[in-house]
Amino acid sequence: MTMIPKLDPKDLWISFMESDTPGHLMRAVFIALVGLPLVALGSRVLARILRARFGDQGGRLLARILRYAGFIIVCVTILQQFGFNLAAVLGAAGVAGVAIGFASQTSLSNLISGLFIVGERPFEKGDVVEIAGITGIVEEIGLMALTVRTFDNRSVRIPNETLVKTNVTTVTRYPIRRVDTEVGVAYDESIAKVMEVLRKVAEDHPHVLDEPAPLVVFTGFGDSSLNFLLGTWGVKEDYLTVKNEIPLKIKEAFDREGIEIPFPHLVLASGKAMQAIPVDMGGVLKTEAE
Amino acid sequence: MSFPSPWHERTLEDGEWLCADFADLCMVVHSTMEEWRVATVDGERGQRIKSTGRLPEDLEWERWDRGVKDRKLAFRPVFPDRPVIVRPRSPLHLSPRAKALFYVGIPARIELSADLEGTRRVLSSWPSVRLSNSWHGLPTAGQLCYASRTQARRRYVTDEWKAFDIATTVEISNQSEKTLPFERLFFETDHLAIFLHGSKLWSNHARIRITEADEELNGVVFSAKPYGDASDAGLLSAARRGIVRRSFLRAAFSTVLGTFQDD
Repeated sequence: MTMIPKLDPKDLWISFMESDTPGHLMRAVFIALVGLPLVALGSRVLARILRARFGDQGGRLLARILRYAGFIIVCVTILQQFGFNLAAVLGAAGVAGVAIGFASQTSLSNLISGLFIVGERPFEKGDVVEIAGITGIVEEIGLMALTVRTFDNRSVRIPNETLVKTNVTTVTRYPIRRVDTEVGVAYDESIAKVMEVLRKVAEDHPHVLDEPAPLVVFTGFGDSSLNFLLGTWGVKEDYLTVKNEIPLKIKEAFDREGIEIPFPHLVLASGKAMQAIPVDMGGVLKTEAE
Repeated sequence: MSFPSPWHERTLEDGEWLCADFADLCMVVHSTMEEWRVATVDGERGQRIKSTGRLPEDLEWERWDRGVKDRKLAFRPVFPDRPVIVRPRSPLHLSPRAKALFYVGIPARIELSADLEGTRRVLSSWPSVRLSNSWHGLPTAGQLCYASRTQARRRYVTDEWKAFDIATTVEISNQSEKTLPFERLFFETDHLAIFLHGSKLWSNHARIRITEADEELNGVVFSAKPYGDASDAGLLSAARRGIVRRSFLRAAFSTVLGTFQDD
């Protein structure tokens, strides 16, 4: 039979105080009290610095990564005060890392792609982008994915890996944009007159820029029409207005000037290229020329 | 016969309205139900309103709440709210050591200020002539401007000058050894004030000296007064950012020769 010695709280306190534990505990508290606010403050300062280089969203994202890294370092340092063996954990993590790495290949790919995107800055929050057939406004540039709000108000999450692999068009990157409008007129019309009318339509529109000058190009002989391109420049905010209004103004101007916009048609020949097609007029065979 | 200046202070009692013409712009101001109501119409419609003496019901009003006792208002000419690009009638080549004086007519915006709860405040401003938009710079970066359809002239003929165009004079001195092509003037108007000389509007005179180094394109000196005979004109509207004797800002007149796009 073993006797359990009676534990005196006073003795326990004395042995506790004589051990290394109070020192470690105080150091741990000190590290926590100083380290955690320092990391939070540092990440804020870094966010401001990084914002200038990587944009608002990119700067915030990198600062968040650095903040998490800082918190981990502080936690590990605190645990070390209590004899926590980091080497053993890292050894175990090495083995686990291989397994986790295989399992989370896509996530890591998204994470690394996200870092590339933050560094490259192909767009900013608020930009209009076209990615893999999706057009919308950039809502958030995340560690793993980009969130885009489409114009019909849906939220689309696009993995960062997709952004690296596919074509990304930033529609609102530059301050001005050209709106191209194609139009065809009948073969009877004067090319010079049509070009003049198109130029006037561009000049008279209040949202079309004088410079860069509007582009009026005769693009060729179509199946049923003489084809033209009117390229008008406007600031990006006016893009939709110009795109909507220019075709209306062209139609109005053509109507006013008596310029015909033809519909697709075919001319049937009776066999001899330049002769009119015979038409049956109720028993009497006539040709169109008669 | 003298005409009253359109810039004098006016009084509108509750229920009264006025119709004031400024080039292509006709402004209808109505004081009613403790509100200032302002509508802009084209000149032709303005004439119809004046001749019938009745306000049409379909006017599109902009409204400002006012105090019961507020009845004073005034119009004032101001420079357009964006830089203006003006071209000479045809491109001019400025020889080495040559000086050229240009008269440029910039259509004024008309600013309306009125008493609001006993304090005079600017309600808004409208263009006397609608200017087209233009872009100064590259397609990737630049500045939105207005393009003036009135062209830079070498002499001032009073009768040819439109009533609400601000006569702005710029003297360009080519102190380099090269002939400089001059295709357009880029007017950053923040340091230009507006003066009234007779019934005409003038701005303070600006002198630009171009030396060999491109960096010195920004050597712009602003006078406190208009050029020549108009130097005794009275101040009507102060410069938005004050008249400075000399501007070292690249933005101000920096690309006055308009060769930016050709670079």
